[in-house]
Amino acid sequence: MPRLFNANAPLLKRLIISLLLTLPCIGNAQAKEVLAVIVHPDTSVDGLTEEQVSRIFRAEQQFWPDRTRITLLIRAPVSQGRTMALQRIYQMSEQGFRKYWISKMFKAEVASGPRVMYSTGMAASLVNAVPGAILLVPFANIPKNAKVLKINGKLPSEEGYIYAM
Amino acid sequence: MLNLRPLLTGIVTTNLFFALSASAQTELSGDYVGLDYPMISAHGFGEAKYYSEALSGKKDVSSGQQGLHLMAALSDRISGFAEFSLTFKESDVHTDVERMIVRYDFSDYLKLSLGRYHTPIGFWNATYHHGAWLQTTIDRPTLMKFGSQIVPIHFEGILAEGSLPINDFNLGYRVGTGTGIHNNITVDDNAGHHGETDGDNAFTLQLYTRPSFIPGFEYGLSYYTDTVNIESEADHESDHEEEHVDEHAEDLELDFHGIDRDIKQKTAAIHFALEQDSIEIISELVYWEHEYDIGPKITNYGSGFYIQAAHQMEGRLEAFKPYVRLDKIKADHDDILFAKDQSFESVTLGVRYDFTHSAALKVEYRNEQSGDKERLNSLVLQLSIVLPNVFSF
Repeated sequence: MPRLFNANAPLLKRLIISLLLTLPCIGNAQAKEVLAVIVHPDTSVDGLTEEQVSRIFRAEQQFWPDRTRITLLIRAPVSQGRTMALQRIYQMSEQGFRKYWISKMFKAEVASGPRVMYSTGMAASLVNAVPGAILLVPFANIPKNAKVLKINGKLPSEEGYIYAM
Repeated sequence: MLNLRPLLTGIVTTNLFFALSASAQTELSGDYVGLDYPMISAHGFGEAKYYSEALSGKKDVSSGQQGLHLMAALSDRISGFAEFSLTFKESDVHTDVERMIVRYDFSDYLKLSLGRYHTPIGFWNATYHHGAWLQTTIDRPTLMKFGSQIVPIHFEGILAEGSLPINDFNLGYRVGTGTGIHNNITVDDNAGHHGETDGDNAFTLQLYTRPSFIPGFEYGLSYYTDTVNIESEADHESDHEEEHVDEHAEDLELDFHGIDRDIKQKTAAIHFALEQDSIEIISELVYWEHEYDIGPKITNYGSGFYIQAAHQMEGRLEAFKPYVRLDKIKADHDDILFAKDQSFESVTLGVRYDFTHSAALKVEYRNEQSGDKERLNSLVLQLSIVLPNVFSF
């Protein structure tokens, strides 16, 4: 390999080798991270708009249409699901997110913040166990039997899905 | 007028007691899985301040106000909120029940509650209030300061609130009736703590929008009316205040102390707030009208506003947030409701430094003038902390 980058090697050869070496990086950049919205299986909705998702996760909407209370679940800090949720849904830093919920409770608009899930397994079991629960998870971590919602009419596996990053 | 205070205190205290008991029993049984009701959590807020004034050379260190905020989800529909404060003033400690609310949530459209609230006028009063850490600046705007004579800080009664997600505008409303808690007549007993005067028939209405397409933005309109009885407070007034009110009585050729005379208060406000990670802009405009309900017509008008802007720095300076605020209040010198001239203007420049996730140091320079008094320059430092989830179960 060092020999290929020898300064004496022909320019064309060096360019070809460089392109070949960067291909894997290009591939990674193109691989999209997809955030799925999953809910308790009995939840009465099959899809939401992007605005509804924002409203729900900011606790501006606290009930499903059948008047079941929405229970927000969120992964613990540093997890991929949380990082993606903060970037895409809340559009806040970790500190901003924390302050948002302390303020929300201080204003007596909610009695509690989102329930923090410390593992994928915990999240999977609770979203299936708690009526009205909703959770944001990376596409690769969608638990079995979870009900995945369409967002703006599209599932996470479909082209044009809004939470593909 | 209906006095709900004893009833409210009883209801809330009883609810919280049973909630705590039930929760403790659940934990002991080992069946608690984290989503059972009741779910109770608490936040603590604390502050300490250093104040230095250039003109008089006055310097002071105080521990300010400490607060404890309790929240309890008693079921998926019923919740309770309580807030207690400790204020240290010289050698005295004052304890206050700032809020006590029990609420039933029918749906997003209607939530009905009973209790003692921060009056929903404008933005600041119900958003930050006693949580010094929550607000970027050291103190509230003068319109909402402690013992404010302009905005009735507290309100006791019944409140209906809800939201209507129309076209992503997220409209919200709060409407209530009950007793307005005014600090405008019985100002400052010897301990320096404000007294209270009850309004007879307070009515409050607030409409606001939090559009989904502008995260962190709120725009709202508020309206508040009340009838404040002056006579019942005459015995508590200081000599200066009594003299001030009597001047009005003389003008009216009425014997103030012999006549049960009320003042009708109307307050309207408009506010907008943009709170995002990097930028914060908050502004409120409050307009009021005070009028005697009987006798010759005397009406006072006044208005006040503030605008505050802050910017969170980026990169290595991201813990710093410089800010500026302009306050201005224009009031009649002899307003029939105010115990003293409320005219005020100030410029505040400061920096907030969040040195941990739960503590902030703020440094502020103020240039301010109250009424006809000399303009003051002062420097204030504040350490504020939040203890989130002091306990949560």
